Amino acid sequence: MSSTQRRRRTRDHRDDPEEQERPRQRMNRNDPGSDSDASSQDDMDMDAPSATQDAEEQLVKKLVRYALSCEYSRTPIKRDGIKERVLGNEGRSFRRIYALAQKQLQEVWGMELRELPLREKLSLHEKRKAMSSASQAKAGSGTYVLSSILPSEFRSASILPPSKSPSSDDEATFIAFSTLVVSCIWLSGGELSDQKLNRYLTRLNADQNVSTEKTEAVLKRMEKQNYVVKRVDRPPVGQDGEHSITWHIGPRAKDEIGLDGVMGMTREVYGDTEPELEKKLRASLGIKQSGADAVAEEEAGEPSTSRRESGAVMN
Amino acid sequence: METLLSSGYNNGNRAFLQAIMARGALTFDEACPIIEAIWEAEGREGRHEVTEADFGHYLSRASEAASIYDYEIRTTIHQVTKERIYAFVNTRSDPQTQLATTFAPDELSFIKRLFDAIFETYNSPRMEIMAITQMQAMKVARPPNRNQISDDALEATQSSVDKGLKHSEVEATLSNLVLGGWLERSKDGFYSLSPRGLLELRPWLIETYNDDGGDWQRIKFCEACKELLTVGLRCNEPSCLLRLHEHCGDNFWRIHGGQTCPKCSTPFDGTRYVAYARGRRRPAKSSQGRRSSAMNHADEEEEDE
Repeated sequence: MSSTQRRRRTRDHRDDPEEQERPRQRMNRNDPGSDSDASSQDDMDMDAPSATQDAEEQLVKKLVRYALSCEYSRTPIKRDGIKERVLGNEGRSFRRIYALAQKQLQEVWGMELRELPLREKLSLHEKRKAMSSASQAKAGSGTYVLSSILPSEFRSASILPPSKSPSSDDEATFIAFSTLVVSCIWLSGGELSDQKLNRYLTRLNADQNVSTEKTEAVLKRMEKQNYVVKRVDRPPVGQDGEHSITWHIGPRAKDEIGLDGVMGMTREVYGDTEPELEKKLRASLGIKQSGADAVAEEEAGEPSTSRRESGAVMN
Repeated sequence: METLLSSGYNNGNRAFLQAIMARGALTFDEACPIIEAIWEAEGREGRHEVTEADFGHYLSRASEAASIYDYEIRTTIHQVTKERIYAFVNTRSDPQTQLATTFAPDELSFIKRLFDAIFETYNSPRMEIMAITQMQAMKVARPPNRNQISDDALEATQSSVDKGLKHSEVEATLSNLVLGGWLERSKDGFYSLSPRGLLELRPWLIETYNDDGGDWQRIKFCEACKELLTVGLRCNEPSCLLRLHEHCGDNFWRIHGGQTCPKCSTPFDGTRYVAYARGRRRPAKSSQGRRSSAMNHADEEEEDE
């Protein structure tokens, strides 16, 4: 029955150039086992809204492709970018398309888009400015990352290797190094001076080169990809003094690596999980709750755990 | 999509889809540990060895899911190792996916020159190598006629001069292309396109290099399996376009009977190779001859410069 339906519809739309693509799409849907579905599709075909439905579907598809390809090179997925590259004139339908694309990403790809937190106000000056214009505070940063929502069992390195961008070795090295730097910053209370970072890196023999790359270049990339934030404080005008550079945790690291990533990394480095270590760890990270073990356990099992976790633990 | 989801599409399928996308290409042997790991993650009881059928099941589901978004899983046989390869391929180039590269613009324009060299310079009717050595790649490190351009249109190009790559950068880019699964390096140091690269770039290659309008075409296909051919046998007549994969040959001659080229009726003796001396078979005199002719060819070019 479904095949006759298909034929009829194909005929109906043959004259309409805009509908060219539709028969093919419907063929996918009309596989046996979706008969109930087919009838509802039929109803829609009679009405005008089907055109918008299709246009919408195309936009959702485009958005999914956009998200997948941005993430491949860690290009930030920005709301403005989506509007420009995907939605075009349909800028106003962002919310609806986004929701649909999110659903498809979750159900088909096992991934989801997550909005990064706003960059924190670092300096006193910035904070003051934010206070004075508090009324205008934006809800989100408008920057998204795509991350896997599969349960952690499915995210072992044997299923999901570091992606080949450009090569899986380079990717693994980068993941390890960025996790390390972020952990250092996090364990130092979220702020680390440039000298101190350099001292750590020297101790690891990573102050000049990371694998085959210059450390400086890797740090720059981490900054660009929102893993770390580098703040340069210049002395007030007319006064002498050195620039002071401090490193902070970037929004992407907060999402991808997260507290549990840092804790996992630290535990792995120290080996045995002694109660003493756990206590120090909690103190350094500023976790007050004494029953934090339970919390940590819970977090580790949550889908929000980043896909980078395996990389962190591996290294 | 509804059909897909209503028919038991689960986390295992999602994980497999992510796995093949991250790797770019898979063989059955590479897929077995992945599927085993997925089964373990699912906590499946009474597991058995992964069979071709299991692999096929995961592939078809992943393919179904990917096709909704204009990606596809295509398959081909590796021209040298003869293994079957399944590659995750983007079937449409659009602004949304042009971002999916980790190469910088000057690296990309080098890669274009590299392909030109592979498919034009080192792919003449007389000598069909379709591969490039690192030394030869160095020659295209910089865009040609740089001085001329800068004289003619100094102001126009000033904003976006393509300075080309340093030799060390050429090395790095080549090795990144190999590690990223786009190129393969033979034992003798020849770089050629990998199966995955061929699958993904097939339409682009045909469009770019076969558009001269003449009888000759630079990109040729195996007469038997119709896949793009960069390693294999060729007709004894240099101007003939017949090419055959070595692994396709036996069946082909059995069906056609006799060993004369169906295109030009020249006797076919299987001693002429496309992509000579890849560190595997060079028993016949001809491949030796080809080697020296390749040397001469390279020498000539150097003299030209």
